[in-house]
Amino acid sequence: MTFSEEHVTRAMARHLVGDGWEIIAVHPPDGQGPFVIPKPPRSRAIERASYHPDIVALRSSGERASTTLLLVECKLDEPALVDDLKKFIELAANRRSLLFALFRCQDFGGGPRIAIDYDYVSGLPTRKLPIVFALAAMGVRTTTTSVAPIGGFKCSKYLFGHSDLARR
Amino acid sequence: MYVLTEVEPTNHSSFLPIEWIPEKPQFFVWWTGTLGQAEWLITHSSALRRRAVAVKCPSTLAGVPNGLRPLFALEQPDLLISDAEGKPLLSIEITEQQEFGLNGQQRMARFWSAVASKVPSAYLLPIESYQIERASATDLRIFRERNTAKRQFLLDAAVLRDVNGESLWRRGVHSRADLLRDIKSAASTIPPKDLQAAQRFVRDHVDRSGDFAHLPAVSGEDYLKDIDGQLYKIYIRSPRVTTSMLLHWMNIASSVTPTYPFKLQSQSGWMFRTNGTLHTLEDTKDPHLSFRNLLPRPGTSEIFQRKLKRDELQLFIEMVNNVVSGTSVPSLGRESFTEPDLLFPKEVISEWRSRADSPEDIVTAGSSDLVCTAQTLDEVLSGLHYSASRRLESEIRSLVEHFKEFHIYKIRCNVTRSLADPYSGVIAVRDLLFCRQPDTTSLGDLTAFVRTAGLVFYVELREQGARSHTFLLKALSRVYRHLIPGGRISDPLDQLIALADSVRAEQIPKHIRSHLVLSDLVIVNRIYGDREEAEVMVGIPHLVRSGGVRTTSPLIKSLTV
Repeated sequence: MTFSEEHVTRAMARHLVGDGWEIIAVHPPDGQGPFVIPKPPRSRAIERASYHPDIVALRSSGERASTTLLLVECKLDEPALVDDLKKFIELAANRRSLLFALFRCQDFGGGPRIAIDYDYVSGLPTRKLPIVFALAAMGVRTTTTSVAPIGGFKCSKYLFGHSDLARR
Repeated sequence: MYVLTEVEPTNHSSFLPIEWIPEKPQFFVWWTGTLGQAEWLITHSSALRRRAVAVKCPSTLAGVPNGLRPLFALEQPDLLISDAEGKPLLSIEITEQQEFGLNGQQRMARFWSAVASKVPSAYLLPIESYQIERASATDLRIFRERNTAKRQFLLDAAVLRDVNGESLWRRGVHSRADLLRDIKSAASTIPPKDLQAAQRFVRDHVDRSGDFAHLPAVSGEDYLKDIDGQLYKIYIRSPRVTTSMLLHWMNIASSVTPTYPFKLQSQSGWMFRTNGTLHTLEDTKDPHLSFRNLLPRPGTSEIFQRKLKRDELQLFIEMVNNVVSGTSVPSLGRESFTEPDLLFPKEVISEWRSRADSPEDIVTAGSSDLVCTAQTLDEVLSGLHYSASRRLESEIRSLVEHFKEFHIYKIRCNVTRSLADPYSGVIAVRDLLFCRQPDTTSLGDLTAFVRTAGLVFYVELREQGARSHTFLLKALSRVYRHLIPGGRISDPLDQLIALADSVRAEQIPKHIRSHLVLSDLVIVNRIYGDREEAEVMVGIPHLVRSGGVRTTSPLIKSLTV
């Protein structure tokens, strides 16, 4: 079986659901991204003028203002994640882009149950914003490790073995 | 049976259940977008499931059966269903992006190709959706209003889009309830010029009482939000000029072969997350479709045309099943999409183009659609500084004398980027919408180019664009030398005729392809300060009618199955 980045993205999404996350957007390779985060006007462009994370997910511990936003980038091969890491570093340095991502997940009348209290979080210092990052790729076996924080935000790396990638 | 040689079905990376992949496929779903879109289609179509495989269509078209190539002649569709013998059955486009400028029309050359080959096609698009963008100066004033009651009223009025809250406040309307009451009762507080649009908005988006399930209005509380010092707004972007043109175009084309739009129905609960667009996230019934950013499962979205009792994706799948099984395709209520005042105000049609009564109206116009007499066009040409061979000049004269009227699509730009998108689709729209009679003579064979008005693509290049852009004759010459190695022709008209006699349409690069294949005349006017320099070139449609290009030439034959 030949694996593609999409296999990694789907394995990661399944893993996150099992871990209590609600997936709210997935951006497959070459597809149209539904969850768009504008880049600052003078940002050095890595790709076009907006971020399209491969996976966007939310998880709530049940209390108001306790919902966390997870942004994930996926690659088939682990070494290629270095470009995604750069992308996250740039994103983490842009408060407005981070707030825009949280704004998209905001709580509002008639909106989804799990959501961000935007008015509350927008008053927090950047490093306290409820955002975490993750990187995912194919590995020899399925593992999860913490990696160095990005701009003060937690970041994890997920590798998926062939048996997890092969699940349809 | 067609045997796949240079292309391979994407079985090796397919997510479909293995038992669904047939050893001897009866149908192929050719994809240029994503594999997921093809597998979504195969999964939900009873006519395709277990009978079809997905095949990635290479951008070079290597290995694509000759019978399918005309569908890719001008542009490449997202999905194309064919039978096992390589006969095209249905061309499909999917876009989740709401109309913004001309992006809705960008893909229309693909539909032109389908209509020319009498192959049914379907376009899945939002038509109406939520939009998040930077707020205007007026919105900023609302946001800064210190009187909280007035601020709330201004926000409530702003989301209705068609009324001026400040003016109404001064007239004594101070609450949302009063505003809605006055609009519905046509009270004198509502200016007559705003009344009709405001009443339509309230009917469609507040009461939601019409034949269509329009999107619920955004609430005043949600309208504006400060994001780190930058104010953003969310609102409903409704179809206006460009989408109404597109829908009318599809209605005209449907007199030849079913060419149907389907609305991707947004949901207000997702307006911030995805501008309202819905997707299949976790699909427990068909897990192979989970987490691939695919359209929702048919039957799970809000029904858009209430009287049809099925959602748009169910109707789309019905079309797919009918086409694939060879049964006739019913109208599926598509004719309603162009009924006056249902999806867009009927006055919009009068905004499609304006009449140019003098050459100045054309020369001084910005990017726009114009209609003029042959005499006016002739006067425009007389004022341009261009050179042409005697033969080209004769063809230009003959074109001007052939039609009483011309439709001019003019663009003004100062960039050097390619003029491929969105203009290939935009020109295709103008062909059927403004230059054809709705009869079999004109529409029955699109490549005979029997038109009632000439079609002119007029490019005004300024600044960097004037200095550096290669459109059109420089680009044509390069293409000629590339595609006809050793060719010694230097006259642009002869180069174009030689290309038509030698190559297929898809071999001509996109940045000049549709412009020459669909326009009767292309004008490029470069403006360098106070100096102007123009290029004028007749296009393939004129040459087909004049006999300069044979209808049996490789280029013309490559346009149809």
